[in-house]
Parts: sequence; C-alpha cells; structure tokens
Amino acid sequence: MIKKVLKQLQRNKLQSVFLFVPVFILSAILFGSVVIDTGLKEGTKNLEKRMGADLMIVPQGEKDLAGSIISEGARGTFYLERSVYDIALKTKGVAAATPQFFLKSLAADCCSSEVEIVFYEPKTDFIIHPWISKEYEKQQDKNEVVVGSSINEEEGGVIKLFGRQYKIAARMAKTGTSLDSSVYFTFESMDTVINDAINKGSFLTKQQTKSDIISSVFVNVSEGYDESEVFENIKNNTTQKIDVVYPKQIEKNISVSIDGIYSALHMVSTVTLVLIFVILICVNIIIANERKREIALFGIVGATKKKIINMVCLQSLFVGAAGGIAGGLLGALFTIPFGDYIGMKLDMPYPGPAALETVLLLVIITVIAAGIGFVTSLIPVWRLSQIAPYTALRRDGD
Amino acid sequence: MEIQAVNVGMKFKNRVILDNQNITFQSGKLTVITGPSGSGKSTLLAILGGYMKPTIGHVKIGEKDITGLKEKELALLHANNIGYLPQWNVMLKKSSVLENVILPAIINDEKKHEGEYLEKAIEHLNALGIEEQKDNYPYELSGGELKRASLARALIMEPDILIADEPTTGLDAVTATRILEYMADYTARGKTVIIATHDDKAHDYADVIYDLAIKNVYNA
Repeated sequence: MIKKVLKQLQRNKLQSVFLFVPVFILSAILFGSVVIDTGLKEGTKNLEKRMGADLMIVPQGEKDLAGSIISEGARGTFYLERSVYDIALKTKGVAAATPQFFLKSLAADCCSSEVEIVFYEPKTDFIIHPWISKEYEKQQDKNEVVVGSSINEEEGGVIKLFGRQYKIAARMAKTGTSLDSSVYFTFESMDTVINDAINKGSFLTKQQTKSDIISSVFVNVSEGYDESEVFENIKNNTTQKIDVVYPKQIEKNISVSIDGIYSALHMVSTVTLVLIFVILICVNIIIANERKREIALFGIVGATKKKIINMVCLQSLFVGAAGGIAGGLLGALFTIPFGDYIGMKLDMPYPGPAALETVLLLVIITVIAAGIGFVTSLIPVWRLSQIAPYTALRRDGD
Repeated sequence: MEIQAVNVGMKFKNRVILDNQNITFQSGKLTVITGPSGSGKSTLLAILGGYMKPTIGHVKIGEKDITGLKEKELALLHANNIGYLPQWNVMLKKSSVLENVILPAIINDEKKHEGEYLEKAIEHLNALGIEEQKDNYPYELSGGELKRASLARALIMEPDILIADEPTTGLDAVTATRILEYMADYTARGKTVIIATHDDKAHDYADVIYDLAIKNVYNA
C-alpha cells in the first residue's frame, strides 16, 4: 500500500505541491513560534533564578544601568566602597549579602567582542554558584575562571585574558542574555587581573585599580522584613551615596512584556493554523473532485471505501509529514542560529532550545503536520467515497 | 456463472428510469441488450454488476443475492467475478496503458503475481492489437485504442461475468469488429458476457438479444 501511495504522489507532483506548501508554511511558523515561546519562557525562568537577591545595592545614579545588566546583560562598570558591604552585613533584616565587582574588558583573546569580567566572593555568594554546572563542586582558585555559556575555550580547557592563561573551572548554564559571554573570577584573582590589564595597556580609572572597591552588593532580606525598609536602614548607616534595584520587580516587568509577546505568538499561530486548515480542506476538495473518476475507477475494480480512503488519505499524510519536516527545518534554520539576535531584538533573555528539545519538537511538528494532512483530506474523500462508483464515473452531462 | 435480474426497477425522484425487469443471463452466452436511448440499458448494467442498488427487486449471481451484500463482499465480487467496461474511457492519466490494465490486480493486492498479470495484460493488448501502446500514457491513445485498453483491464482478473456498456460506440468498423470478436471468444470460454449497445453489428455475435423496451428475449 505504501509503495502504491508513494508512486501516486510521485505521479501527481502538482497536487502534492499544492498540499505540501501550506503544510510547509504552517510547520515553519508553528516551529518558530514554539521555539521562541519556549525560549522566552526558559529565559524568564532563568531570569527568575538569576534574580536570586531581594536587593541589589548600587552607586547612586547607576540604577538604570544595573537594571540593564541584570535583565539584558548590558555591559557596565560602577563602583562602591567595600564598606557598604560590611555595613549591609551588620544591618538588621539582612539575611545574606554578597559583593560583586564588574570590570569591563576590551576584547579578550578568547572572544571577538568585549567580555564583562565579574569578581565574586565564593564564601558568601548565592548569585553565581547556582548557575555553575553541578559537576563542579570544588572551590574555584585564583588561577581558575568560570565562564559564561558562549565563551569559547582554547585547547586544554583554558582561556587567555590580558595575556594570562586561566583554567576554565566550570561553565555557566545558558541564561539567554549577554551574561553568557561574561567570565567569573573570585576576588582572590582581582589584583592579578587588574595588574595584567594595566600591563597590557588597558585604560583603567583610579577607582578600578583600588583593592577595596566593589560594584554592588546583593542582599537577601530576612523573613518578616520589608525590602525598602532594609535598604533605608543600610542607606542610613553608610556615608556612601547608594541606590537600590529590586531585581524581582525587573523580572515582573519583563514577564508583563513577555506576556504580550506570547499573546502575539499564540494569535499568529492560531490564525495560521485555522487559515491553513481551511486552505487544505479546499485544496483537498479540489483534488478529490479532480480525481473523482479515478477514485470511482478504484471502486469499479474492487477497492473498498476503506481502501480508497486509506490510499488517498495516506498520500495527504505523507505529504503532510514531508511538509512538517521541511517546515520544521526551515523554522529551525531561522530561529536557532539567530537565537541571540532574536533575544537582542526582543530585548529579552532568550536562551534558545537544547538539541534534544529541537529534535523532539521537530518530531511533534511532523506528527501534527501529517495529522493535519490526513484529517483535511478525510472529509472530501469520505464524501466522494459515498457516491456510487457508477454515478461518479459519469462525466457531468453524460 | 448465471446472473439473474428479478423484478428489478429503478426510480429517481418519481421518474421511472428502469421498469420492472426479469431476465436471466446464462454462462457461455453473449447477451446483447438493446433499446432506445433512455430506456435504462446502462442503469440495468450498473445494477447487474452491483454498482448501483435497484429501488425494487434484486439481482442474483449464481445462488447469491448481491443486492443486500455488504460493501466488502461486493468489492470482492467486483475484484474477482465481474469485469466492467464502462461507456466512458476512464483511465489513470498519469499511469501507462500497461499499468492501467493491471490496475485491478494492483488495487486488489495481487503484488505477488504481478509478473503473471503483466504477462496476461500483454497477451490481451497483443490480441486487441495495441501491444505497442503499452508504455504510452492514455492521452497518447485514440478512442478506439482506449476502449480496447479498457476491455483488457476488464478482463485481466478473468472474471466470470463481463459487462460492457456501449463498447463499440464511436469506433470504426474494424475496431468495433475486433472488440466484438474478442468478447465472443471470451464467451466461448464459458463466461457470461452482457453488452448494452445500439450497434446492430453486435447482433451478429449475440447468442441472446434482449429488447429492454418491450422486454422481449430473442435467441439469435
């Protein structure tokens, strides 16, 4: 039966093309929508995890830049005195606090573009560690670096920064932001990295070379304490001019924007699905009418209705499956290699799908496309099979 | 195999298409059904073959009443016992003549014996004088050649009953004679052959002539 059907498809090339094209378009759109949709969902989830702090204390006037660093992975540097961290630790209502220092590098040897260098404190950190691959359970030493998912390593698992090689201790899980191209050192490495940077001729400000500076303090608030109240307490205890970013609020804002994108994607997918479904039914009706006498002939020579329906619908099923695979691949071609571009254009964290997810999605899209092909051909063929072969065999007017 | 129409009639929207018919078609006999246009010759043939259900009466093939047969049983009957040559030349446009001829075998999954059927098809095409057209497509054939290819297709499964609707209409005398001779030869093998036609030439090959309008049976 399958051989017979394939032979028929090969012969009726034009009909096959008319069935193939709508399914192909539908599959490409469905695949693209699902990939973007899941990518954004994954990105939001990652962001939520990444926002593992209630407060991010930054220098006054740097609130917006800090927000961009968190949500979009923008590059930036700003500085606070380390005393802010010490004060935060002692402030009532602070459950945990950890400092970070950001250094914007020039293009590193590893990368074609500049990378953000982040220094963190392993003992108190609750921001970076959850993102490090589970396999790495050792303490990161001063000659080691943790890299973002997009950083390319050199042979032997090393990376060169300001002329010095560092062993890659672990790789961060993908966040879908440009933080994926950041590298992470402990504070122990800070002096070496800064000295290397100066020696390599990097332009560093006086502040950047000071050893008692940090860029921000991430704070988790104890249960029962109000976040803004805790910040006010820290602010009142320090002479530094500081500001605060509420990471969870950023995440909420992003979620609202993403909801809009989801709605748009769902609407496009649904409208396309309905339109293509209707188009396919029409195409199948036209094809069935075109093949009316041929189908009647099958009946005359002894084919049962079931066999006729199977034969004709199997053709649509095969064409649907082919359209599904081709459309899915086209969707993949547009959405996967350009994942970073999509994330950048949407201004959203967008990690893109994993290989296994992509294959699984391709299989699902193929099954759906084949199903649509089958179902849309079933109605006209079933209707046609109900006409007595002798009647269907007659030309109109005979 | 004997085929019998018992009180068979057909009405469509209160219009009588076929008046009550009672006739038996015997094995080894070629019966020609005559009658003016609109007398119901084609309808009777379709009913006899089980391609149409009569509004009254029933049709028996051998001892079996085919009027109430289930679709699957009827399909089996069409595949193995009845060859039908329609009035119109209906062919699969994208298949060669040879493939069209062996269509009943392909449809009925006789894949194992495809070689055997191909041989048989070539024999029929050869006997009907169109063997050289076997690899051509239907659109490359003349009306007479198409009719002969259709006859080969109707005979490919060696049915017990051959039903032919206007097999010689529009054909030249030589082709018409060739077709009628081939049907007469087939009858001689003990088969039941029923032809509906206006063509008087068919009377020369008939064992029995049935005038549908006056319901008269003549032995030729």
